[in-house]
Parts: sequence; C-alpha cells; structure tokens
Amino acid sequence: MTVIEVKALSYRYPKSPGSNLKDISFAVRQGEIFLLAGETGSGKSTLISVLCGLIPYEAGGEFKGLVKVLGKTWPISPVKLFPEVTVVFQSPAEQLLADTVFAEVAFGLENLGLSKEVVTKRVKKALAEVGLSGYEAREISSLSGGERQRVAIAQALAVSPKLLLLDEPLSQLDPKAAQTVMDILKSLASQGITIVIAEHRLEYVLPRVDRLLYLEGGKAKFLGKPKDFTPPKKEVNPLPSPPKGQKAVEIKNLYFSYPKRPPLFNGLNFSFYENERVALLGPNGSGKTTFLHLLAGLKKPVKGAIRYLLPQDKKRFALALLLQDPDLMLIRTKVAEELSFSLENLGFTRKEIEPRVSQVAKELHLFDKLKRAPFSLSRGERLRVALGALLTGRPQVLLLDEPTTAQDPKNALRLFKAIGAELVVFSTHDEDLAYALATRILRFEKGKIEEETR
Amino acid sequence: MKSLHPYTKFILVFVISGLSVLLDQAFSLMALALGSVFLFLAAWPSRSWLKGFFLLVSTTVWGIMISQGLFYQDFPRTIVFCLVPPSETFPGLCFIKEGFRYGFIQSLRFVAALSAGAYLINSTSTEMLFRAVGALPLPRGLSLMAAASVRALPRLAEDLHLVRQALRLRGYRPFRRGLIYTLRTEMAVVYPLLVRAIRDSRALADTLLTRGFDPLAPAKNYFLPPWPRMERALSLVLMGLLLAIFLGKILFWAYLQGVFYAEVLRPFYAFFRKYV
Repeated sequence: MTVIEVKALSYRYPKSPGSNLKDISFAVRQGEIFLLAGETGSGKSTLISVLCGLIPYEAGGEFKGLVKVLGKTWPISPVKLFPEVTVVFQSPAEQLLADTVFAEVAFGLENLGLSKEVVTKRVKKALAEVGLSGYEAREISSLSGGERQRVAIAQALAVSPKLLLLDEPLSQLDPKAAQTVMDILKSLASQGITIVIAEHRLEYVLPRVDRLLYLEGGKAKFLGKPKDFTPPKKEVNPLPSPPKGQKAVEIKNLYFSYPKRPPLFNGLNFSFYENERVALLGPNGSGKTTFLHLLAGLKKPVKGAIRYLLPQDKKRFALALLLQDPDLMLIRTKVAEELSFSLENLGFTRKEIEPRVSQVAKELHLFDKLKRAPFSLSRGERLRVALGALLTGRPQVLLLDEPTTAQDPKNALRLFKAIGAELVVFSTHDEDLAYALATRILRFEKGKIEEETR
Repeated sequence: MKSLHPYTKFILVFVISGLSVLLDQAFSLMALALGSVFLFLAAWPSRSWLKGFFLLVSTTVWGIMISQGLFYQDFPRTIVFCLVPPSETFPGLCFIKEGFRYGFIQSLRFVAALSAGAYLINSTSTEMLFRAVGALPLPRGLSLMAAASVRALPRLAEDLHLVRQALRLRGYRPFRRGLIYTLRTEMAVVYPLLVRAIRDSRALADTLLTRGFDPLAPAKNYFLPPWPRMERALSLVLMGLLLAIFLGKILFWAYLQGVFYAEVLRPFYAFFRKYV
C-alpha cells in the first residue's frame, strides 16, 4: 500500500529568492524506512515540513504539485493528520513540552481524549519500545541528548501513528546513541509503521533504510535503493600540522561539578601548545561545552587552575569563545557592524577597522552580505558572522563550540583556514571533520578525557 | 510545606493576598508578612532564590518607606528631620514620621503577597503547576500559555547571562566607550533574546499543531494527585476566615460611615479597630 505519493512538488518559502524544492517526485510504501539525504540546506527539512502538513498550511509560500499522504491531499492542517502522522523535529529541546518523561509522552494521548488507564498503558508501552522503561518520573532536564531524542520518538509512537517523520534525529547524537535510535526505528518499521527520516549522517542510516531520495539544492539527485547509491565523498583534505610551539594553556588539577550532580571533571591535568588545533569529541553531556566554558572563564572550577601563558597583546583578544548557539552573539543590525564590534572595543579607529572587517568578510565568504541584517541570513551564515566577529579581534586562543554545525565540509575547511589564532580548541560531533581539521583529539566520556593519536 | 497539594497552595496564596489587602493595622500585617515569609522559608528555597528574595524584599521595604517618609502629604505630620529645611520659597524636604509608618504598612502588604507568590513558584514544579491550572475549568490553551511563560523565564535569564558573558569576551565593558555607546549596546542585548524567543514560540506552535493540541478543549484533571481531605478542610477554614474578615470589614465600614450600628456588636467593633 502506498502511504506517501509526491508528484512534481515545487515549493518556495515566503521571501525566499529561489525555489527551495524543485520538481520532486517519489512514493513510499507501508513499512518502509525511507531516507531523505543531502547536505545542510538541500531541502530535507522543508520536505519533512511538507509531509507533516506545516507547509503550505502554516508556512504559506508558493506550493505546486501533488502531495497525498494516507489518502489525504494537500494542503491540509497538521491537526487533521494527527495521530496517523506524527513528527519528531530536529531539536528535541525545542519540541519537548513537559517537565517529566511521563507527561511528555502522555501529552498527545491526552489530546486524543483517551482515558487515564489507556494513557498510562500506552505511555509505558511507548517508553518500553524506545528502551526507556522506568523513566516515567524522570525530569526531562536530567536526561542526556540521546535519551531526550528517544523520549521525542516515544511521544510520537505513543499515539500509534501509521507514518513517523523524523528530521535529523541523529544530528546531535554520538555514534552509540545514533546506532540505538536507528535500531529502534528498524524494529518499528518491522511492525508496519512507515518511517521517513531526513538525515545527513549517512554512515549510520544507509545500512538500515530500504530506499532513499538524495537532494541537492532542492532537486532530487538520486532515488532508489542504498546498494545503488554512492554517497558523495567528503572532500576534506586534512589541514597541515605545523610544529608545536610554546605552552599556551596549562590546566592543573581541575575539578568541576554541577550542583546536585556527580562530578564532571576530577583532577584534570592538560597542557595546550601554540599551533595546536584541538578537537573535543564525545557524547552529549560528556562535558565538552562545560570544558570550553571553563577555559573561557564563564564557569568557575570547584578546584584547580587554568593558566594562560602566551604574552598579552593589547591590540588582540587573549581569548575568544564561539557559543554553541551563535545567534546569542549577534547584537547589531548589520553584518559589517557586527564584525566591527570587537575592534571598537579594542580601541581601533574607523580607518583601521574597515580593512580588517573587509578582510575577514572575504575570508569567510561574507563580503557580499556586509550590509545585510545578521538574522536575515541562513544558520550557517550566521555562524560565520559570529565567528568573523571574533576573528576581527585576532584572538590568541580561540574556543569554538560546535563550529561545524550547519556547515558543509568545504565551508568548515574554509572557516578553519581563516583562523589565525595561536591555539584553537573546538568541540564537534563530526568525527571525519575532526580528524581532518585537528592536530590533536581529546575524547570525553563518562567524566574522563582520553587523548587519541590523529 | 513543599509537598502540599497545588490547590492548597493556590488557596494559601489567595488567602494571604486577600488578607494583605483587607488588613490595615501594622501589627496584623506584620504577623501576616512574617507568616508568609515563614511559608516561603519552610519550602527550603535554594541559596540563589534566598538571595534574590531578600534583596527584593529589603530594597522594596526601604524604598517604599523612604519615599513615603519624604513625600507623605496627609495630616497629622511629625517632622523627624529635614534634608533641606523649609524656606519662604521652598516647602522643604523632610522625613515625616507618619509617612514612614504608612510606607511600612504598604511594604508589609507587598512582602506578604510577594512571599506567598515566591512560595508557590519555588515549591511547585512547572509540571504540577500546569496540571493544577489545567484542571481548573478553563480552556487548555490558557493553562498551556501560563505554563509556557513560567518555563520561559529561567531560560530567558540564562540566555541573558550568556549574551552578556559573550559581550564581555568580545571586549565590551560598560561605560568604557561612553554613555551613548553603552546604552546602545545594552539595549541591543534584547535583539538576540527576542529573535530566540520568536524562534522558540514558533517551534512550540509547530509542535502543538503536529501533536493534536486543541486550545479550546476543556481541561482534564488526569494525573493530578487527589486533594487530601485534611488539606481540603484546612483550605475551607482559610477561605471561611477570609470571607469572615471581608464581611466584618463591610460591617465595620458601615459602622464608621454611620450606615449601621448595633449595640451588641461593640466588642466586634473594638476588635476590628484594634487588630484589623
């Protein structure tokens, strides 16, 4: 039985300069795991939004072509598709509504007006299916990223959907959690649930999907079985490793723990050197962001010390940090002003600022966007603006929290080439990129940090 | 105190707020404010909560007392001392004893209500608050909106802290580049917070739409723990007390205005004059 039928679908978001989906056609049968693949910005999430009814019903824009899901023809309100079609969005943090696991999974069931007994029974069943039995009373805020993702899947499953849509469910997961999620999806498909998954981390999904549609710039580039598909190679030539310089940062006997939680770091001892690019790898919640915040002085260690040993230069930042959500760093109305901010604070004159801003903008491919408002740019471009705003201050030590998110490998490489800092420490989930970009790898797991040879 | 049923807590907050409006005597208001502060403390607030609470209480009490002490307009007025003595052209800026007293009474009202509110928020999880409000005979949309806004506040505070730290790391120091630059930068902090709030609310709306949420559906009290009989009885007594004081106030007002007087109520009038 055909569950999804899409014919000659084209779509353009309101105010978008061009089409976001162009002439897409495919069909999905019951019980299939169907993959929407492609790089960031290729149209995967847009297609998920179409299939759950948000496009065009909520988003507006120009919509052409035929979309039919479970016999219902588009445009249609997402409310009318519930509970037959459920969706797990990209970021579980934005999707989860309740404080406890039970309440979260029960939310959709309560909306269906089911009795208390049925709700309780179905919540238990859904949690068991995702391997979270006994988690009912746990607070969502106490869960790891992988566990939250499983709660998000459980809430979608609890209402017994016929079609489950997942938008990049693995994007924030470590390899182990990603494998677990894919195993869960495989078992659901064997029960007759049709699954459409948008994902760009092909290494985890390709072996487990039945068919895939590969998108590039909103167009279908491949439709068929995984065995006939050759994933485009990640063209990341490893960056050269310059010889190690003098000691730049020294961490001595560092202890840190959050209130009411077990200690995160127990007596860390590390030294970082000039010309190093250190990648921090590890599962969500393993302490990568906390480590960067400790290095930046945003958090205070319970015990121990972090010493910066490079000679200070008043015309440069000793230290800069790119936050995981770079949007929190954008405070000006134009990209050029955003890039100037650090230099203004360092006391540079307008004459000195302009060439520095132009140079950084060129290096980060932002020159034609200097007059645009930062928040009118794409996610990847906003990240480059936030980074550029730090780079103009020529930091000696640069800390980057997930700088590879929403960047394709070429952009990530360009980004790192533009960095002139003496020491770069960055966290990432993309292991391939980490090995290509870093001179040294630190792996965080269960309160321990282990060094890996590159 | 922390483990009381949310409905009991609602009633406690309602009664304390009601009494803070009805009572006028400093002694009674002081007792009410102390009781309310005790309620808040008995819920074992965290150190940061305590710090914020006492800062707010002390600044409010002193702020109201000083402003009333300085700008009290009623009579009689007893001057304690003058900052600027009166002259032929200037009435003077003096501290008035009755103004202090009036300010103290007003601040006690505020402290009582504030402590009760702080007790409710600090001792009840958002989840339970949502469920309790959701069980009231109101559309679900209203209770969800209330819960979402309560939940958004800590996140907003966290984001604001992070934005300010990020500015510091970009070399920004308030007033270093002049007042205008500082004001401009401080105001611009709202920009990322607003964008993030809009983004979050859109995500919330999309989530609700795709999870079959109907804002006009009637409330349900699924999974709200039963209201213990003892607490129900206590709540009834408290509500009765509030109602009795309210009716007594009307009776006392009628006596003061010469609308109604009964000889038999003389002890009642004396009690209300002295304590209420």
